[in-house]
Amino acid sequence: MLRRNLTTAQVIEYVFTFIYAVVTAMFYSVGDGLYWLFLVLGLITLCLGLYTQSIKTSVTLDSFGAKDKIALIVVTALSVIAFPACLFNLFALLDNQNDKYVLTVNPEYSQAEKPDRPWYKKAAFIVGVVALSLIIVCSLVGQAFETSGWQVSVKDYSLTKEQTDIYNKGQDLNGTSYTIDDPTVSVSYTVYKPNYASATNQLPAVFVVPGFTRTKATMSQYAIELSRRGAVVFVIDPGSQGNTTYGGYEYDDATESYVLDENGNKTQNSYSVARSGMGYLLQYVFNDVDDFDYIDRDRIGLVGHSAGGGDSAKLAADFAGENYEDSIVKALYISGYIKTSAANVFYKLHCNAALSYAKYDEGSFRYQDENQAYEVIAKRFINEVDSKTIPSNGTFDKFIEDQGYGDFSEGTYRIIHHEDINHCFEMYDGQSIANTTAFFTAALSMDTEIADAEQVWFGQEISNGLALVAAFALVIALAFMIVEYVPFMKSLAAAGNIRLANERAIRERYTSDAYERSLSDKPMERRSFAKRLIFWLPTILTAIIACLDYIPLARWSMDLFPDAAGNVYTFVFPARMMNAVFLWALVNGAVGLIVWALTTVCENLYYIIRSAKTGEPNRADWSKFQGLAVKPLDLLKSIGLAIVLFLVFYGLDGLMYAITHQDWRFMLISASPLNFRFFVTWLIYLAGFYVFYLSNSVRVNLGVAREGYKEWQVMLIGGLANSLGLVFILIINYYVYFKTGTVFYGYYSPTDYSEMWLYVNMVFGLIPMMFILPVFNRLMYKKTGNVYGGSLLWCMIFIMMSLSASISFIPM
Amino acid sequence: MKKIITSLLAFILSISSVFVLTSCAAIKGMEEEFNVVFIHEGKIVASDTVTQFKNTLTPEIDEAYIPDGYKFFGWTAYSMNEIDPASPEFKTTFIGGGKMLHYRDVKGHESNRTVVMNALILDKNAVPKEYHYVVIAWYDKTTTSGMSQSQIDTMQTKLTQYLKSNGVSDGDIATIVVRGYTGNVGQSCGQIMSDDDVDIMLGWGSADNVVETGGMKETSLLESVSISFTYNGATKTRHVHRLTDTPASLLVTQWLTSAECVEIFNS
Repeated sequence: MLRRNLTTAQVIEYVFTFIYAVVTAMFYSVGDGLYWLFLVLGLITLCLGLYTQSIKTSVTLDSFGAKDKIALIVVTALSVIAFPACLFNLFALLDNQNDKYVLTVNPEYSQAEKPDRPWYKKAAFIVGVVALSLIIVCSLVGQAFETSGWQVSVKDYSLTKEQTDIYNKGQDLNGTSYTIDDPTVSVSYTVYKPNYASATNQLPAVFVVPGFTRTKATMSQYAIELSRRGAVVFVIDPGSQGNTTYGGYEYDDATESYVLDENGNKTQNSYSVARSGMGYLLQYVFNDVDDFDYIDRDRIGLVGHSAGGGDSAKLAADFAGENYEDSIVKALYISGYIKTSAANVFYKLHCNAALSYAKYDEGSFRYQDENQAYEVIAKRFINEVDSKTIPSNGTFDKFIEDQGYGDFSEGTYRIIHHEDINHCFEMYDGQSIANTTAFFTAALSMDTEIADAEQVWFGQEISNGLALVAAFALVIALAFMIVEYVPFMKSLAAAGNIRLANERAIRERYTSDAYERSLSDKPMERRSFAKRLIFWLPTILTAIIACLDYIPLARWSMDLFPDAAGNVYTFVFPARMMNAVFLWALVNGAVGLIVWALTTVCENLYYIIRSAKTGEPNRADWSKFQGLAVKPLDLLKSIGLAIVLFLVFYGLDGLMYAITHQDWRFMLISASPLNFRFFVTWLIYLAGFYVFYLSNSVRVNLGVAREGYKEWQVMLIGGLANSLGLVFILIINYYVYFKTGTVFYGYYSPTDYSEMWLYVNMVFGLIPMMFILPVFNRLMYKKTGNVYGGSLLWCMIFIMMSLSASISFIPM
Repeated sequence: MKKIITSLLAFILSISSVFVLTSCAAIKGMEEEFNVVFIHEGKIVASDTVTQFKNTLTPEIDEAYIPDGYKFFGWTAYSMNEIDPASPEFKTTFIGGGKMLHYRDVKGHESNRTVVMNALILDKNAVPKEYHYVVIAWYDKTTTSGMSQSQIDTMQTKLTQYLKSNGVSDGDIATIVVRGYTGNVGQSCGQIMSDDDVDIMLGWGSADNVVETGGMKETSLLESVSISFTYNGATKTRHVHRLTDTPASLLVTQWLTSAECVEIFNS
């Protein structure tokens, strides 16, 4: 009972440590100086937990004496700040400490050498086969959802200058024309065409524009739901995102050369030229009546999210003509965008329109005055209709959300939605999607009986998410099999086994596990309170640093990489948003390595000095640094293995995409098939990011794993240590948001209006990857015996995943 | 096998946790709704609700209802004996008519979830007006405006010399304010409109840009002149917008658009 009470108390103390940490973050976020109090309380409960664990070890070692009893009294008194723990400590105190803790081993239990199974019965092979099967099945299931049971054909295309020269040039739409001028530019788009669409059965068409950094795959929910309801859907990758090239430079067809300024430099087009590229596509599709004879040109819709929403509004205005009959776009859905630049075109629209702005949109802090606030823009939206710039007869002084105003038949219909969701997840919100389908169903007279709430898009998300997980499992299984069975690679397995044996020896020194004790002929050692503290304090410190330096480093990335920050095409770190993560990874990776090294050195020096003074055995462990050593040939093999596995991962990804049009993704986390411009971008970032991945591998495998923890504890500690800092960024940001309506990370400072909120949105996708990274690093280290190959593999895969889901201003 | 499954489960768990974290339905319970009532001469002229995620526009009061010699400043949740028009904090005690009222403006003033905002109508002369010969706003975003603080300092020195040579008194020159505005066009123009004391804007884009993107009223731009200078080896074209018609703003605008001033910004 004694040990059990102490264990319970210890767990409660750790839980309270976490609770105090969260409360600290909450008070810090609202600028309440009391956060220091909760930080101190959290540190105290952490120490209490560590000390309780130490006392428990004494019980296990049957060395619970007077000193431990005094310590337990002190711990009991202090643990009143984690009150339930106080009770259990009291129970332990009052318990009979004369009870002996006896380790017993069932003599019939034997861990005799298992007979070597054939390779096809090995766990790695089975996992690999299951994973590959799951990938195939999930891809097919995902395709089934995307194509609505293969009733919709889904294909990718590229729009080039040649095509727009034929169909756009000289064939303006209501006085506006968008033609690709730079011959190196192409716009990638996907068409979702119901199989029954034809020249004799023309269907309405909806054009979809994703937002900043997003790709067309992130808007597939709209495409799926609209296409299954009887619309042809065109989704693009905006400029410099996904498979669309950059926006290009000004090009003169007459001279077949680029337009140069007075300094001889090419003149850059905006990365969002032609309204994120949708101007090119919409005009092309509209004018190419032969290839797109299945579209009813009197029923054209347009929807965009965030920056895509702004561009959609402006494009609809561009093609608006004089009245509803003339207007190319008959139905417009603006999602997540209320800037005045879009509001100022409301009066120009001659189409039915809907405006949706998420109630919890983190970017709303920018729109709080009487010109820009949602309430004002929404009122303008329902009033400035059909050339009315000033509210006149029929003015609506107030508006009601989700209520229609105006008349569909006259093209004056307006409706406003304000869904209970935040900005980046609005595309994944069932209500938002239902509002979208409801609007287009009515505005474009779509012939459907499918209720708006009846949605299937999440089937594709789940399938592709499972495929992503299976892909990781496959890569790991393949790594295991290659190292085990390819003769050339077996030296890695041997190195791995040596490392594991070292770790086992350490674990046996500290473990209280009955069976493991029976294997060891050495007496169990006590992991002292000081040793625990030396491990945990640097871990917590680096998590705090990672939490607090993310935004300042994001800000610094704007100054360090001004071209990308200014949307200027460049080969120098062109991924604007990823530059923030890059700096964060570089700095925290370096900090992590330094902290690990310093902690190890300091700890060992402590043991050396202690041994010299007290005569105790010298417990200094320099083998942690030996873990950095690797034979040159093994290093090359590890690098080769990493490259092969990376190619397998993305090769299979590309293959599945080619066959089923499915890649591996779940909401904000995705592995899009490789494309050349992002491959080149990836090469630019790889080395810098590798510092972080290597650092993580070192800290998990040569740090946590050499503290005597069990394997599951190593992975859990590693995962939490690597991700909690980012989790606390979200806690700080959103606690303030819930309390005040303004995010903590809005503008950088009261005098620096650099917007930081989008960098916080990126954290949502980073957290799962940071949690799983130490686990993956651990698995590869155990198999290859070095920290280099596994970290390189995950660096290559994760960075490619992150980059291809973002924006790159590389001029390609 | 167990480890791989454990790892995969951990991965799925972490993704699910992120998904749960974003479940915004939970946020609804944290919303605090206040009923805001606007009262003028004992009558409710408007009412609306305000939460952390919902603002409201304050009503305006027709000039006909304001006695001669008095001015409607806006709406206040303070009692009259808490308001001192001569205090530097006076502007923080009310929200102007036709302005946005936010949760943070009323939090702390509620009683039973209701906030009463009274019309603040005071003697026009009750609030001392700070005199400025001219207020110049400059676009403190160097990558866009091409202008830096050190260049503006030089500009201000030369402007002083110019004004002295044109007979402007030292007293008036000492009241000149040159104020930098940061953020994007919308934010900076929004702040200028809110400050409501700027005579000249320096460094912004064209009139179309400050109107369409910045949200300024077209009629507020009395004069717009483009200026071109070299920034980082390339030609940059920005604008000087005059917002007021005083002799001071006319004189200063004339100089700001002169070659002597423009060459300060070459870099």
